[in-house]
Amino acid sequence: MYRAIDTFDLSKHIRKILKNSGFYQRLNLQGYTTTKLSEETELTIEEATQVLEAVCKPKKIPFQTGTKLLQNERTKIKRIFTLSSGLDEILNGGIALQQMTEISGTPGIGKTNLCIQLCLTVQLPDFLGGVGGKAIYVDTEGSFSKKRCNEISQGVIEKAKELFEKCKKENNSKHNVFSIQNKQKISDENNSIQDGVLDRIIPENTHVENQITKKITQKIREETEKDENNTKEIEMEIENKKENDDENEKEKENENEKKGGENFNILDLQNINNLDEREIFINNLDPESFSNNIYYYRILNIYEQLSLNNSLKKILTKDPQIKIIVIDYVSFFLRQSFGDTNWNKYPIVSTYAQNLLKMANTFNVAVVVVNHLTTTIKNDQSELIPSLGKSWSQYPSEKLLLFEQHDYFAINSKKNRIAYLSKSSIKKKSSCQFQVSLNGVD
Amino acid sequence: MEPLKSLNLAIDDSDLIHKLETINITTIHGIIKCDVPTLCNKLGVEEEKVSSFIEDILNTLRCYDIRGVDLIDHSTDLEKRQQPNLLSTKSSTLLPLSKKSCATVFATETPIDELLSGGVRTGEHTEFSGSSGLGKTQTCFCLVESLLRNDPKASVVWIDTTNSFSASRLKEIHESKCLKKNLKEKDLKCDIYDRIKVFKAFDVFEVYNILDRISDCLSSGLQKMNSQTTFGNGFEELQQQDILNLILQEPVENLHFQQKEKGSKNGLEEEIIKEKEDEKETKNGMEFEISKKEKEKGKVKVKEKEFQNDFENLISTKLIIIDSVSVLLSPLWGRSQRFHLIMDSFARSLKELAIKYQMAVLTTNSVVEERNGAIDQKNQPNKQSTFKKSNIIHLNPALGEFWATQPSVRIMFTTKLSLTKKTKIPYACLIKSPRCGQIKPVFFSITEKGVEEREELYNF
Repeated sequence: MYRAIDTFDLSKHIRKILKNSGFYQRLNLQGYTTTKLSEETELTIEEATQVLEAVCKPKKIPFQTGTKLLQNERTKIKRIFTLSSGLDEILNGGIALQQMTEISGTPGIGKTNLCIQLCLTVQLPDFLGGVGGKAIYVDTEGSFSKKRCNEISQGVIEKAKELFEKCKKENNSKHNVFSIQNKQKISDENNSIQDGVLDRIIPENTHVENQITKKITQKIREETEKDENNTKEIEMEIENKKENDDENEKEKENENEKKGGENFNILDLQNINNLDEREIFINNLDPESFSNNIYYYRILNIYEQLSLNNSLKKILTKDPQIKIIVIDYVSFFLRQSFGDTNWNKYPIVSTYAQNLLKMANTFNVAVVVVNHLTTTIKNDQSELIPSLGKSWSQYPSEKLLLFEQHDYFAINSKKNRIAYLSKSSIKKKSSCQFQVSLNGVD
Repeated sequence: MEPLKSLNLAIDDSDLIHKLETINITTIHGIIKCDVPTLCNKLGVEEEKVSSFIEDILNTLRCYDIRGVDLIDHSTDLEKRQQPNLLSTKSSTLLPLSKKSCATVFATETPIDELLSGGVRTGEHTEFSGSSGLGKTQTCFCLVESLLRNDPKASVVWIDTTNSFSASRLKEIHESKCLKKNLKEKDLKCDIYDRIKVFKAFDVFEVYNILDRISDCLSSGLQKMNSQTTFGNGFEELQQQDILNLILQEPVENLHFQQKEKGSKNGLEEEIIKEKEDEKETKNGMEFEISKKEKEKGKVKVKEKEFQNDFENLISTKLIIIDSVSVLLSPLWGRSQRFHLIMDSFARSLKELAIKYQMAVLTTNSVVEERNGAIDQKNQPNKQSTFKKSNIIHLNPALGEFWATQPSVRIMFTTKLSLTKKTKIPYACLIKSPRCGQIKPVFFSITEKGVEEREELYNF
């Protein structure tokens, strides 16, 4: 097939050299070896190999057939539940891995609470139907509070205990304990598939290398101090800073090794099959162990946000246990015009979103994105829609809209909180009520 | 002044081209202009060979004239719609391009068929545009499901750019459709899921590679059918250096070169001698690896079979869906010149696939908001009315006017407020079509069974 040199993923410099020496399309390069190409053009041998690899080498592109995908969707637990019955129902069992989910809503409706709760429920182990992973929390607005996190984690622990009791009652006869959700899934399938499911749900031996204690409050202090000092040359220094942070982490890891299991980590106890041990595990859950598994990033400007996005790949390869990335207000910086720069906003937003999707797919991570609401006037009527416009709205595959509605039947004109699923490729659009209490989102 | 190398002739004339290069004839123009007998004397080749070579070139470059009678679109005939026309690939290569363009119609079995005047056609680029959550992807699911159910041999390539493909949703639609048509459980085929290939791509260049691979497979498939030669014939374009690289780097992975490699081993060795001495060591390594491979032949055969299965599945591709195209192209927006070039060639390669291999191409596109009030503001003296007019928002498909010329059929998904002004009703309308389609918008609703006609049409 005809293909011009410009349509290959080569740098501007290389493309210019190639065009100057008369290579305009792929067929022109036919029959060239690396040495021959570098002799005829100004390209170095390395560049020439790069060119030939990009242009002439046939690539092996992986694809999945529908049956394989169907099996994956059945057997692997692909959703992180919210532990709020209404939300779980409209979201078809929780927030999907490998996908981007958008949560948008009016201020004070409970978006941040929901996000914190998701960071905690991610860590629940396999036998409760959870994913058993870590979380990244990217905070642009500064609304994350340690205290609230502790309160919610207590709520989560209570719910986890309830869930465990339920599981125990239902599975007295069986050796393995499954969550209710899994059981429902299994009952839908044929018996032949059931065996396969059983094999898969028994958790693999996940060896947690070390306990990484990263106390969140301490982290905030460190970051803010550093940021106050260096506000100008940010982009260069962020990476340095991250390296520093990594070093800090390592030091902390070493410290923990010396302590030798004094601290209690949830993720250590993933592979318990014994009922009694599980019960002990459930009873031993405490808020501190939950917050240890949340990586917290405080973002202060657009440069930091973009550079964090670029270094996500590094972070995720380093710790494959991360299963959720929460970005509390993506739109906080992105929706402003970048005052002092001449950047075009549109390509930046779309590359940002594309990278997030790529990470979600390659590392099997759920991406949750919180968005502002803006008003538009359409046909002389005002309307609340998520910000960042239509170009952003195509990226999230599931969208959740949180808003308040007057309850006309209540006496003291109480307001109800309502969640509405406005986009999904699986479930029908539907809404439900929810509440925000001391112990999280119900 | 096209170079001779750029011709993809059916007969292998690389020796002759090589000889011609020695007397500085490299272009088509050069060989047609020169005198045949003198040229034969110079080269020492038989006259027949050269003249047949020139005839071949002229045949490939010739424009065929076709009468309008041959072009009449038979696709609206009911018979053909019920029995999808399985094009025999053998005949399609022998005929000139437009003669084989008796398009088959793939019905989506949704109300949107009315706008498409039957369904999505082969050889055409169709586009669904609309804001998110209105049912573009759902309509694509319906189309895929009905195509796979009706045509037991066809397969579909789905290029997913937003991770929104869901096989369980496809299953749901399939089962409900089968129930509706009173099909027995035997007809609930599992193999429809086998025939859909889902590629995940987050980059235009990745999609280019996917399209390249599909066209490679198809072109080699056509050659295979025509000449009954061995597998792997389609990779003739490959350079020898590449084969060397492949053998050195990925000994087991790229198996289809194994057969090729045996034939060209002598050629390879010659090349290696020409190369610098340093590479002699690697050559030894290569030979070692080859012998190693022969030991692993048993394993290799299994893998080869797998690959061949994939390959054969791609041959029968009848539909390519890219969901969504604006996600791919929008990151390049800022670099305007290159952006246009890539967008142009991307659309062209899609169209080439569609016409050359008789498949349908379907893309989805998002929308952008445009305020068209700027001109009105100057003309209107009354300030209050101008304020109103400037706030009228038009929804246009994304990627601008440039992209608008590329797809031949475009359908727009939008919403409309109901009369009670409480709910939004989705509907679709036709923007562009080469046929006289239905101009009235079509109202629909999304249910478990896919996209269906709206029942409570008169209630709002």
